[in-house]
Amino acid sequence: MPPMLEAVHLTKAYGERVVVDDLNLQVAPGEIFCLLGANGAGKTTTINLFLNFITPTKGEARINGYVVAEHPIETKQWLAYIPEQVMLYRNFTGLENLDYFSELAGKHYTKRELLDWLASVGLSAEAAERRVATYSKGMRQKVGIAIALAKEAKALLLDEPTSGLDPQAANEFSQLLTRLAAQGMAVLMATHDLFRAREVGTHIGIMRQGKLLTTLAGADLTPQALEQLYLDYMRN
Amino acid sequence: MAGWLTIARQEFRSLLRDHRFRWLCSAVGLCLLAVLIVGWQQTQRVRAQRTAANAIAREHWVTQPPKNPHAAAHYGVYAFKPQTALAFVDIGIDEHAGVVAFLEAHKRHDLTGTAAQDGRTQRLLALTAAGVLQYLLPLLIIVLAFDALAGEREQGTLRYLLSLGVHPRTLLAGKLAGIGAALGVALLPAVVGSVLLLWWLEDAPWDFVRMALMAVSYLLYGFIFLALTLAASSRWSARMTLLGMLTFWAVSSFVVPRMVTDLAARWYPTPARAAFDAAVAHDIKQGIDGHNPQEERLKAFEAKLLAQYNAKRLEDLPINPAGLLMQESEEHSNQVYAHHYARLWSVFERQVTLHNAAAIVAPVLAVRSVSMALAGTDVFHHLDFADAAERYRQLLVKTLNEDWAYNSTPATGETYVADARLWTSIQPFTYTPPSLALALKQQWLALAWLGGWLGFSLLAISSAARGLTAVT
Repeated sequence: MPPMLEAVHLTKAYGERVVVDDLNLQVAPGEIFCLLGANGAGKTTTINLFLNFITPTKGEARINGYVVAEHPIETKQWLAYIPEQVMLYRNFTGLENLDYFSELAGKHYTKRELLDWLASVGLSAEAAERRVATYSKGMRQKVGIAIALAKEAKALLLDEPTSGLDPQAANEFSQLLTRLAAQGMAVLMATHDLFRAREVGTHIGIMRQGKLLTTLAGADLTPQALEQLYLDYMRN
Repeated sequence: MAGWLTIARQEFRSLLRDHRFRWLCSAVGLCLLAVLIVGWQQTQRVRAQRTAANAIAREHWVTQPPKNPHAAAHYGVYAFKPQTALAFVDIGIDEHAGVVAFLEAHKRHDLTGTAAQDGRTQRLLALTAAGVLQYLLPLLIIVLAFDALAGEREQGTLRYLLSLGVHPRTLLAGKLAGIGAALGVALLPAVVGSVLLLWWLEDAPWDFVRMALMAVSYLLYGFIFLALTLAASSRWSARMTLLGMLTFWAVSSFVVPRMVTDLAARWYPTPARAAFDAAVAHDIKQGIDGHNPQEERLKAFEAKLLAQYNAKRLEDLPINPAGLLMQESEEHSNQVYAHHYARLWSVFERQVTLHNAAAIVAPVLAVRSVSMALAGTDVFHHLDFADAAERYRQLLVKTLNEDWAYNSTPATGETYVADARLWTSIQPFTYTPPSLALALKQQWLALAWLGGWLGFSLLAISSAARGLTAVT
């Protein structure tokens, strides 16, 4: 059985500037792979390569064994994506946004089922019926997660998902992520939050200047090792 | 539900919730409805006036006292151009071209009775439904669609949509359908209104076919602007799209047509009235290009008559030669008029061709020509009426001259008089406008460019689908 997410010698360069350099990684179902790195390390570019928003200069991004660049539409059926800023349609309610994106993902739910999805991420029915223009970032993030859940994707790509969330919302998010992984979802999360990565990651990959320098098991990381990691890699 | 339908529904609902859309569409929709109603009232009034004027002119003709037929030919008749039903949608050149022909012996008059003389200048500053559709509809489309894709990209929702596996083609199709449906709703009252107004004008069924074709041509025109705006929005920022499309709209709608009109007048000038009349008068006297002057022609005709009747003098003829000589003179001036008007028509046609050719950079020129052709208010319809009136004039004068010639003798001279029996035996002028096929055939170049723009916009949208990316 192939890994759900796989990068094989994945490289992206803009002219002379290499932003992702010969990246190799695998994320199996049930794993949470955290890509750690400072700004400009190549984390978001890696996510964009898996989404086929940009094409690789060399190498391949694969989802469920399919090369993303060759099967850009098909590979999306297994994929859900939550960006740093979940942007929704402000004139529509959370419920309407979920309904719209679910429909586009090929999932058709009743209103009750949609409300259940939103409730599962902690959004009340009252909030679900309000226009998104009134939502906080945390609430939008919850709708984004609900969209990913409703899609019943096998793999989840996250780009700085807890950035800007208050501690409680970030904790809830971490718990949810752990639960999804336990249900068999493969998660690739780009973050610069060392502590969050240690909390949820089964694997932690350290990126710097486009290169994956090392990969560690999350469970093995002690607070001291974490501090050393920060000093060694995260400081620009 | 298919993906594009889901997107279309979302876009439709989104637009309906947008107060910009509600205000703009209400304004344009009401404006369109208002000019349709005003145009319809004007058309109805003009049609009634012309019907009445025709009846009065006929009454004057048949009740004129007994007189010499040639004097009756100078008394003359009036021919009124019937206003087509669809003139309430597109008044075309009827606004400034003449609509009344005075038909008399010897002289071909230009059409008279222009807008200033029949009160049509009151028509909402000459804003017509066609004008709203040609100038305001594209503006409305641009304002509503400029951020359809750029806005999604700038807000970040485009990343979301594409991450779901939505094909860019599906997204574009949905946007097209959604915005198109919203515009359709906004314009529906005007569409229904125009059908009802046409119905109340009690016209022939072919007017509904013409109206349907007109609706299709404006639909295509709107599609062209929508597709181009979406294509621009897929590549540029919202601000850049708005700026670019507004520039295109302003240049193609106002600058290019103005330039083409000036160029047409410079490259294909129409003669001044006095010069035209002088040239006609010269050729009538001297013959076209100096050949066969009038005096020689008449002398030759007299000789021919004497030979035909085996007579030595005109006074010996069994018929009245004055009538036939008048007719011979008429035939000659008819040829001269035909020659000069053919040249004038040719200038008009070249001017129209230049306008239609310029539609390559300005789609409004193509749709304008097609719209006027379908409404029966373009240059070709105008010339066709003028020619029909001229044919009637020639027939009328010939009938009168021959009546004089064959019902009197040289001794009777000009004392011969005809009466109401002759006047009533001459059928009134009736005019059948060119068929739809002929009307469209005349505008083949405009139709071709409309098709060309449609093809270009399809290419642009197809290219946009290939190039649409969430990351700039």
